[in-house]
Amino acid sequence: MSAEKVAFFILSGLTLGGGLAILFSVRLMRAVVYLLVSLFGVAGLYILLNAEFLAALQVLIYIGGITILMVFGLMLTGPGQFVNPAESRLKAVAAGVSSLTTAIVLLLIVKKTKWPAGTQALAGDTTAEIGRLLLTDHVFAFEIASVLLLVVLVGVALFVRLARDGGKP
Amino acid sequence: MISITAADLSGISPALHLAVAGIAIMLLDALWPMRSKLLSVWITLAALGCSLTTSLHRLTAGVDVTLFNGAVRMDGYAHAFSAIICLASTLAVLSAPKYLRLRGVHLAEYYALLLFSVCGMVLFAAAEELIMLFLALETLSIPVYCLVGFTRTNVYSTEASMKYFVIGAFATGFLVYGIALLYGAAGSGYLVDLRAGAARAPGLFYAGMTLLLVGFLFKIGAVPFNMWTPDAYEGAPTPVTTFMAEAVKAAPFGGMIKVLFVGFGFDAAVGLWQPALVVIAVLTMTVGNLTALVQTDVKRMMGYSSIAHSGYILVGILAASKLQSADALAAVLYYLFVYVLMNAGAFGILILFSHKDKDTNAVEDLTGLARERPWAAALMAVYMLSLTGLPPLAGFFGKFYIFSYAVKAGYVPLVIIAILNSVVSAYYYLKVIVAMYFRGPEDTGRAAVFHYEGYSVFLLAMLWFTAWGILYYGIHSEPQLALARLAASSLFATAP
Repeated sequence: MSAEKVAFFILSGLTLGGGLAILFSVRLMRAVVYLLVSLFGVAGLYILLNAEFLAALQVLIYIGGITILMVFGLMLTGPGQFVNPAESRLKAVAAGVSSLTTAIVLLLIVKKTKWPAGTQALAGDTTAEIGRLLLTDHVFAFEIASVLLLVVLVGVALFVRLARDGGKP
Repeated sequence: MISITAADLSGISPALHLAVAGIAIMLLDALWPMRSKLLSVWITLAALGCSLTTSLHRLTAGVDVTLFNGAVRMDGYAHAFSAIICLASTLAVLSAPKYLRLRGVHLAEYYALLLFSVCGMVLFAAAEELIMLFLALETLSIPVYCLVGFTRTNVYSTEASMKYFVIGAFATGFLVYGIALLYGAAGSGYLVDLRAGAARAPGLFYAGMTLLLVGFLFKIGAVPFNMWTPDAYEGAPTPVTTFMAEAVKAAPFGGMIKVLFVGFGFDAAVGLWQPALVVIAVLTMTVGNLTALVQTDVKRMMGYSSIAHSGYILVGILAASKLQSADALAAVLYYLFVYVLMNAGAFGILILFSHKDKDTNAVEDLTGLARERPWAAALMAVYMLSLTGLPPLAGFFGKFYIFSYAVKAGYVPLVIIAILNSVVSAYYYLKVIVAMYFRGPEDTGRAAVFHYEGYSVFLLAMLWFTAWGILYYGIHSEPQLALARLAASSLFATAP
């Protein structure tokens, strides 16, 4: 087994194990830590795929930004134990069955598929290439993403303000 | 080097007006907070008016441009959707100031968020590429989540906002998963290239198609993905419900029809999604109508009724795809136009009699309206009869065109179910009319008060316009249908 394969199994183990641990952890704070593990695994997989820029973004944004925000959120609100809202056994079983079927179907499809793109390494500097695409082919998506982020900022600020003083300026 | 040309900006101007106006409103609110409220209503109306006239003008002129390296295409189809959505949003904005002032939340941000959402809707119908489609859908959805919770001190409003947000995010998850699989199969995000993916990696392609469609069906509120609709409609402030029931309802169809006809328009895919949509259309019509029967709250009832109407529209889409005819698709666009008018009017009446501390929402609240306010009752009767589909109102012609094309396409059992459903729906729409005309305070044991609190010219203008539109565009549907045909044929020109 090549070193790359070993790394792949370790990293996907981290990703999947972290994901499962989130599902079965009772304390939210622990779930966030497991999320961190899972996201690290994904970052590692990106490196294996020669997408270094994506891996760096994954670490910076998801691990450095979002999970830390979640930790702050938890510390400030202090929800303590997570109460499982599934009130009936039937619902839990139905949810389990449907998730499992979906997973199995997707797994079979992924296994059956002859993947069109080969596994050759991406040529050259991926960061430069992403930058070039964002400002040429995908320039409009890039601009609309800024409108979207503006909307989110305004919405959140407004929501907090409305909760505090109910619309008074 | 950034590759944006002047032609790109001019081509996209229907969406650009709206985003720029939204930013202008926020700046104005920061610089001049005392006067910003009324001014922002006018800026919003002006921006929507600009976009509406630009779109209509370009639709009639037959403008068809592909912009930003193929990311969006402003053709007849996109311009027609842009026009319908701008009209719907104008009606929703006209109904807002009175209600928001009474609730003490008349803020400039309301209009800014609404405009950003409309900008997303215009782009959604114009997107030619999956990433654009996703970004446009989020830009249209996220402001609506905030608007639903706008009366933040009201616990129902906050709950509705939360539910809508969580379920909406869930639906987006499906959509993005679908997009990822489709991209994996086709190696390209452009709708016209998707077809290659079906040959190269069929399993991946069809899984992606299913997930993408599930995401769309969530957004249009089709059964079994409808559970958010009544709660969000009921909890939202009524002007936001107006906006949701017409603009937010019509917009997802813009992207969905395009994806179905352009991206999944080839025989092998059509053979899969057509039967699936037939089942979903039947379920959507039937479940929506039957559940609406037992509702006592008009907003909730209209929520279920909007689910049922999604079912009728799906019938129209199926007919258009089977016949491959622009005329049949034009019937769908005409239906959306009429649907916008009817819904705006019906919610407008509820806003008209909403008071400072109490909404007029229950069917019972309208008891005896005809004696005290005959004109308002007459308007509401027009909206309700049109929603039922009685001739010679526009609602009848909307259904008539859709059903006749469906018969032509050979969907006879589907049309029979749809007509039976229309008959069932008459019961709950007429319930409102019976309460207004044939019952009085002696029946309910309490006197309803119908005084106008916070008189609004905007709202009255909206009510009279929609009622006139329903009466006028029913009989004179030809100009509207001609525009819709122009739009529909431009879509068929791109479809494989």
